[in-house]
Amino acid sequence: MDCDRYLELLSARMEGALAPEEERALEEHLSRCPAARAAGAQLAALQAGFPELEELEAPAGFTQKVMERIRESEKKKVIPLFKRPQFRALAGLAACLVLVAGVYGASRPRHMDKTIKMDVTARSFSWDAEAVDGENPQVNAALADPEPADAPRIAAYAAPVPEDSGTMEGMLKAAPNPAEDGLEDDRPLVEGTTTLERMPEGAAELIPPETAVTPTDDGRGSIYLDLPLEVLDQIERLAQEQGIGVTAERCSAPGAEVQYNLVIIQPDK
Amino acid sequence: MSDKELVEKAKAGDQSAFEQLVIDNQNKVYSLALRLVNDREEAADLAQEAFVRAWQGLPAFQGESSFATWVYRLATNVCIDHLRRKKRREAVEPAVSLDDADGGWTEPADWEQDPHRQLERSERGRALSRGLAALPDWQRRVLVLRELSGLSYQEIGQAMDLDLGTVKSRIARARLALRKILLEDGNFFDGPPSKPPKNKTEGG
Repeated sequence: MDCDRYLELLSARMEGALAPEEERALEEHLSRCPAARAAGAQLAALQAGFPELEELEAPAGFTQKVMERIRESEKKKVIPLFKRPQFRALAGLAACLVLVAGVYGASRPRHMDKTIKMDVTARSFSWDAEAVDGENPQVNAALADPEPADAPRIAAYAAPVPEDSGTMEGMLKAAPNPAEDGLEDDRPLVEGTTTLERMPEGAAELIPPETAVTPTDDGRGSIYLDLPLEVLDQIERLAQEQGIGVTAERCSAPGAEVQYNLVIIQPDK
Repeated sequence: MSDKELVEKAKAGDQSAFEQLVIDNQNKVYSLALRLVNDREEAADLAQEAFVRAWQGLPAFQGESSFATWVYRLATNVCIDHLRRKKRREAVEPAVSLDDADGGWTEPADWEQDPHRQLERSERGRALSRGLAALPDWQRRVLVLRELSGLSYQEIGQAMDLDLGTVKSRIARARLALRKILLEDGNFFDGPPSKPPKNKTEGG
């Protein structure tokens, strides 16, 4: 083995990645090669020097640009909003109001089911906002301010009761969901889709093995059909932690059967 | 106001608190992006994207690490995604491969000549920066992911579609190449610059 090879072993040793026999061979070489010893010391100094590495200055206007992009994303995508804890709290309140409104107008006891869960979706949420146009059509983070005074406003957006029906069914049908056509009155099927740029690390293991998978239209990505909601939540959390872009459309309402799908735009391989 | 307080305010929707976090971390994040993608415009765009994702991910940020560490990690991921997309594009239209192991020493790092003002740091820190800039992309990337982003060999392998052995040898070669550059630079290692220690080929 020539000295170059030992220098590579020096690098691996810094990571503790040497096999015992490599370690022995390297030690043996170092004991008789001053140049390799010097190199070892220099590589260590190099690694230790990284905390001192000079920072380069971000271009002028960097921060303003970030804030512009944030404001823009807040306008366009209200989606991440429903993930905010303060919003979730308000959504719960909104759901109660919806429930009250629904129970008030509905004749079927199904609406009083204790297990009813109302996820106010971004899409139906912004649609609802339009329904009360003129008051405050943009739903954004500002509206999710956890000030108690704001709560009724949010609730009002999340739970407008269409004038013609005043029932859950009416609301559901009015929601701009493509799955609404041709549905039975009783159990409308709605879809909640989460779209990720790629599969987060550790997410594939969460998907039940029996899950049906189909390719996306472009044939490059994959769609995982009908996942349990808690699995989808976990995967979204992983994606957020790992900085992977998440687009989520959730739509569920009492009486609706919801199928949650996961779209991976670009699989790892 | 501490980072933690700023994060709490930002979590509650306070954009000006978040803006302060951006100001405090922009150079660090931009530097990382620039060292990974070696293009000022792309680096600025990706670094900004990392902050936008940080804003969007704030509700999920539990504060296990500092905000700086977290946004640094986000920036690493944003850059890796970018490099992977770029690599795929270039696989369709071959230009300069991301993993071109024969890339050699000829590529001038465009940010090395960048007239923009560089922040005051130690002479060693500046020498190291120059040395990194002089490395070919394929060496600088793996080294930056290891030393700055703190990724494991395995994570680097996944990020760059390389097997573990390749990651290991690339990092070793990057370190040795950087050592050589810094020996010639004379401002990093102790000792007179005119008499650098013998380099690796003369070791025996």
